[in-house]
Amino acid sequence: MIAAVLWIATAGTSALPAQTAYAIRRELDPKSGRGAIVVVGIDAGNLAALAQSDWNAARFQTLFSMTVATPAAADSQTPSIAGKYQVVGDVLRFQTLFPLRPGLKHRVVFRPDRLPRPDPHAREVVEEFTLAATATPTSKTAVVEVYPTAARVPANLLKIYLHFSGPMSRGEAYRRVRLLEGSGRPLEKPFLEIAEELWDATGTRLTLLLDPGRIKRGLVPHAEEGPVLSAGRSYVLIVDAGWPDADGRPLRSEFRRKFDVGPVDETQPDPLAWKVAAPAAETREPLAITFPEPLDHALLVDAIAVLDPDGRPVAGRAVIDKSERGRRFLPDRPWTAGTYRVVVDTTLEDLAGNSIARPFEVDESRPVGAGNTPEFKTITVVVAPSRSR
Amino acid sequence: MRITRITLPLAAVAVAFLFTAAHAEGPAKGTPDWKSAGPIAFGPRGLLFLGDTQGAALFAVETGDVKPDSAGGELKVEAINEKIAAVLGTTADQIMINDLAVNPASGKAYLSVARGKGPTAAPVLVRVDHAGKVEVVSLDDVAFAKTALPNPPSAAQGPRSARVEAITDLAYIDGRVFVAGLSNEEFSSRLLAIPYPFTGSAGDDASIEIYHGAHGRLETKSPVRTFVGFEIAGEPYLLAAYTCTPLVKLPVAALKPGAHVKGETIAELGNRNKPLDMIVYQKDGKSFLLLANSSRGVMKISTDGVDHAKSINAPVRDGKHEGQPYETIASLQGVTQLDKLDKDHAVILLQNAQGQVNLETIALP
Repeated sequence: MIAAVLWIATAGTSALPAQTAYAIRRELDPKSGRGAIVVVGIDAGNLAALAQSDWNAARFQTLFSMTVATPAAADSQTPSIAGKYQVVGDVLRFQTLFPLRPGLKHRVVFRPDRLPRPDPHAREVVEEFTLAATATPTSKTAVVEVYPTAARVPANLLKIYLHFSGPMSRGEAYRRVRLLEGSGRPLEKPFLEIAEELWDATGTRLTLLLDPGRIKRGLVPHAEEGPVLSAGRSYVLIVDAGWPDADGRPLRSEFRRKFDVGPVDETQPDPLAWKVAAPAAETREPLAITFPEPLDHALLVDAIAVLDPDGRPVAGRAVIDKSERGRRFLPDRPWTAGTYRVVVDTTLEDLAGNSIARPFEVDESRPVGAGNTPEFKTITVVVAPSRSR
Repeated sequence: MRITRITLPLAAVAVAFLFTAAHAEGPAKGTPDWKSAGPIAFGPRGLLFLGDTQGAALFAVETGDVKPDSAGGELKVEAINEKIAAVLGTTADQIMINDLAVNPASGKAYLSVARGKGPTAAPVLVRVDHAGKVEVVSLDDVAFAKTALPNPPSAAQGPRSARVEAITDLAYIDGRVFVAGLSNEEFSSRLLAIPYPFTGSAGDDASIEIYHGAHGRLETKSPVRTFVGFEIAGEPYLLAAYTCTPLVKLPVAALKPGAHVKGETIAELGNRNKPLDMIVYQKDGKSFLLLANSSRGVMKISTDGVDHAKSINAPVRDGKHEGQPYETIASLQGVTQLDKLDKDHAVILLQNAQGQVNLETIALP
């Protein structure tokens, strides 16, 4: 800067840029990290040349660049942050593609000798800054429930759902969930590990598949390792407290769930075997269905609908019973006398992946007739007229 | 009569026009609302397919990147995860590189990257050239087409509230985009075959159920983890690796809407060999499969005799591997992604124990 100032004093009104007091200014919202970095002090001739130039981002970066100043990488090798360069009024503006991350040190460099009409006497202007991290790193996300909740599950259990109170980060699921045998020995790779990780859209529910290759009979993994779970034993599922949520904070605490393992379940769920308690007319009693075995929690939510005598869906909400052995439907408005229908999606599965349409494994010598199973099965429920009438 | 004479051709033109407008959705200029960085795959002439698990959609973007890269040198970027993070204004622990695809038209590598790790992580398309330049590919105002991926209806006829089908792989083969998915609810094994140009939303008619049979007569719905197109005796096939490890072949001709297709096992790879990615290549007049997997590094699998290979029918005993012979390339540990660069080379992403990811070019073994 001193050199530049001296040059102004001596050069006076030559043809070269007259004003060389370059400065970098931040026009950022400190909370969101959105906004831009601008260079002020560029002469009108250079601004006009920049505005009309066909420079690409790489060319602009030689003049004016912004980098994340990580201690690990040598700065000269750190690529510049991507963004858009624009001449706006009397400044050169750089807007990053993404909001700046609080807590990271940023370095901005402006090199006047790289202007279209180079200013060889001015020194480069360097500024470093860090946006203050606003959130305090306290834990608030926790595991709120793990399904199945039944104390005993079949040895060929296929799925486990982890529900969190807030959105979680991806990429660590299979390091953060462990299954321990009763003796405390952790099972080696009990889950099917897929890089995509099976989250719902809100990032609050993770589906874990117990390795289907070890459940399915006749495959090498089944032969080499055997099924993941053994009947008659008990296990503990542990969710590590160090698992970061979407904001990078660890969980509030470790989660543990002990469960026992019963025999293999190869029987398909059958709606004809369900107990259905018909509600009384003019009440808002639940239409309660009880299953002889626990069913898949996630599928139970959407797999069953109640249709009124005219075939229209009845508005209301469903409550899944303890151990996923029942589902109660609570109507928004009182029932009226008539014949209702409970429609069941045949993709509904039990804990071992046997659906109403197909068992997990089909013995081809006993065909179940793929394509013959309807998409939905229907149970008729008669709501009797109220006795008070 | 006179009216009819005039009207008929006009009506025909109008119908043809409507048909074109409603059914052949070629690329139009705009900005794709790509919500999550899913798998990517190239079609012809720089056409790039972008998978979107969160948005349950598939995009086709004309990259315009159709000239061979003049930069020279081999594709190689050390610590590419750190470099991408720097370009995105973040750190390597806060990005995820979800897929790699080489553009056959230019030889440049494209990466599907998530900036952030939460459910709202921004998807970013990154391009690497032969000079080692790492840049963000802007999707603002590009020529693109979109198709929604079907979500099976629930009993209540409404959308299933928390159901997501994670796209695990996609490939463009003979005018159709094949999409393998894995549901976070039901144990399904849907493979979608979507014709391109897209014809509106991909309906359930694009859905094919894939089964795995063979052993001991037991047949299971088996989700496909990764697959690749392969020609056997002039006929197109998919060579697919199921999540439960067997490698199967599926004739493309049989992959018709609503079909019940059973993959024929051609190799059993054994436990802990969770397939991640694979390519097909020719060497010394023979075809090979190169398969990256979760534990044993990269496997080179011979496809010799795969055309008449008998399906493996007997249950495997004593951990013995069956089917096509393979060898493990011991020097390639930690390969998470691979794609073919040219007939003799592949591009890989290698992750070391410290978490550093390098992009490298290797000679096909």
